[in-house]
Amino acid sequence: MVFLLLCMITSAHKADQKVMKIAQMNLEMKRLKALYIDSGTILTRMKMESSVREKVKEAGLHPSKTPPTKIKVIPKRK
Amino acid sequence: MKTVQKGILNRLYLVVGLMTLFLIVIFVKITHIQYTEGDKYRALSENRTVRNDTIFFNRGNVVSEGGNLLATSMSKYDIRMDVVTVKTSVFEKNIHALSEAMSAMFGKPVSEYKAYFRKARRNKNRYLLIARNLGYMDYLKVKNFPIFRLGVYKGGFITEQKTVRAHPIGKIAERTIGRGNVGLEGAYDAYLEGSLGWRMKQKIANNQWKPINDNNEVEPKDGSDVITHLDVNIQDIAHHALLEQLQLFEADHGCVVVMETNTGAIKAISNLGRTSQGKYYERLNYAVGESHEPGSTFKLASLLVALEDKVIDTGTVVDTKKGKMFVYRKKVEDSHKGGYGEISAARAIEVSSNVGIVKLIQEHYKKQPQKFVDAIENLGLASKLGLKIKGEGSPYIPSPKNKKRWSGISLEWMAWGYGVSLTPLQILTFYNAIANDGKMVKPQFVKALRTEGKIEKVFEPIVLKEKIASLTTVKKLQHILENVVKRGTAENIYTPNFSMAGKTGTAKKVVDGVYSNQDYVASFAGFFPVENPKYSCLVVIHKPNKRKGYYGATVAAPVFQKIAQKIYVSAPVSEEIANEHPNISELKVADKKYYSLLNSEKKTVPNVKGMAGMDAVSVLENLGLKVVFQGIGKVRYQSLRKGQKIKKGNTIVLKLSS
Repeated sequence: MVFLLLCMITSAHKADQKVMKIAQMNLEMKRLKALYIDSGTILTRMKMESSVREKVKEAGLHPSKTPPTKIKVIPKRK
Repeated sequence: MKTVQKGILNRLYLVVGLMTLFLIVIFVKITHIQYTEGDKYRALSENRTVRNDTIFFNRGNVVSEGGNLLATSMSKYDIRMDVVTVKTSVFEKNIHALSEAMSAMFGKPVSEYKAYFRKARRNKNRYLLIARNLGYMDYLKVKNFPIFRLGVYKGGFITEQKTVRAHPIGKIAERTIGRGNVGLEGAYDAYLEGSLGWRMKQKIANNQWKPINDNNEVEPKDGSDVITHLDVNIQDIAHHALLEQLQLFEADHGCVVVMETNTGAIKAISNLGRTSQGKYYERLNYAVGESHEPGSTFKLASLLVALEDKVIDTGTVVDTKKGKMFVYRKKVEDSHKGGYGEISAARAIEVSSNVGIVKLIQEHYKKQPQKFVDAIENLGLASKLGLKIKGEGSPYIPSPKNKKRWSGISLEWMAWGYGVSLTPLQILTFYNAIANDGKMVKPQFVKALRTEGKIEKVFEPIVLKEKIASLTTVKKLQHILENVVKRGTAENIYTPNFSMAGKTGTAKKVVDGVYSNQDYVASFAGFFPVENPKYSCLVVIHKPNKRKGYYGATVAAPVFQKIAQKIYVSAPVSEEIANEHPNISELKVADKKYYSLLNSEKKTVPNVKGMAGMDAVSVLENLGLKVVFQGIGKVRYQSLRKGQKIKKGNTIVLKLSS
């Protein structure tokens, strides 16, 4: 009887601990999500053409006036 | 003796009697609490330890076609400070450093922050505002400031986290993405919004709540993501091209929309309005909501009707005389002083001759204006597009049936785009139909809905009108629009590199009931490339500073050109070259050596002699060495011998020669 009681108490405590852990992990998840979105935002803004243009302007770089050409070299068939 | 005994006994009886009475009272009270008021107290106790916990859903995101987040729920932080809790010694020692850090981050001068903190300390402020709405990265930075880094109790650092709706790409396309019931957020609210769930929870230690059952009573459902057609790159270019032009011409407001010809997908939409300080921001969704007189861009519709009715051909000659004519004493005038004389109908559009198009329409429809109006309405220009975004402007096409609003000049004025009213998106839809060989498709903002990472619904293109005119007519119009850029009013944007077609528009604005000679609407509608149109685009700029320019060609067309140019240079041109002696096998050997060295686990200097210079540099730098090289070609000499141990940051000198 006492053993069963002990089991019950332990299990109840374990459950409580788990709940605390879940709460903590939820908080951590929120934090990581915030980090992900925030850094994603910074990255998106940084890689936008207008901001890249602004940054490389001083170095004298401008967007190309002609499209890039992909050159594919294929062996000539005899 | 007996009297004493009796006295004691009497007192004993009294005590027993009192105690019995006390017990009875307790018993009565217990029974009362248990049975009479029992239900009330049991409910109260349950309320304190058990609750129905709401589980919130995550609102869906609005994303661009390429997967960039356009609107999302994210954590923002308000930072406050309990100035009183900080020890005087700590405060005095660090106040300068803290003010410096604040100044570097938020811009105000150091002295101002110092005074701010000192005043708060004097006033014993325990809730001093430091910053609002910080992103997570900024929050981390502030948390590490002097004093703040000591934490809640010693540093008085107070954080308040809240979840807000944010636009990660900033102000760009803000109106269209929307907020609340505005824009796409409002239009697709039913999809973005999820549903709440709930579960029973019991209170445990640390103010935490433990679920009672294994499963939620009701599961929360997250909202769907709305995937738009917007392309962040095109949007960025469109936004900045428009902004630059608005600033240059000190215009009141303007909009630009880029649409994919075949599908009607909106790739970019920008609406900028001017503040009293002369700055521009996404003020209203002009492209969707602002119905205005289009002016010359409407001439194309007039010409289409006349061509389709076969009353004229593109070669039909019209005498514009000296560029002036009167209809009921109202003047129609060409912008080119002196007029164009006798020109073809096609040329009249190319040079945007007002007299030309008015004469053509007057001649053939004066006796039957209803026919002309019906044909215009038949193009779909008289009805709304039926966009999901709230606030779509209503078009207006006058009709002889409405005698109150129809006058002797209505037909002629309509021919050159006055007296009618259309929203920018409606005009663009019409021009897109011309580019799309006559097929009119509905502008679409949203591509698909995604729930839990899976595409749930795809929005297919919607055809509004299978054919707005015969293919012959449409081809003729396409050709005319091409010539507008090649040798007409928009020749200033012509470039031999890529082809564009379009029509300029310069309309007078109505101010206090009369057409103003000061306020204009400059516009340009067109498509590119001409041979196989991929995108159509409309630019409308309201009230440019007349002294700086007001013609559609000078104010609006350059925005169109910039966007076309950007899209043109983004698509690589593929070229295949057949090589007579490709030495593929030799390349393969070099590649093999390069990859084996790159992936090798050994941390000793490899032998790179004979390797191509660029390969050797990448191999050595990946090992943590600094590489200095001279010459070009293959490696002939390396300063560190093969097999030597690598210390990070060591320098190796390579000599190359071909």
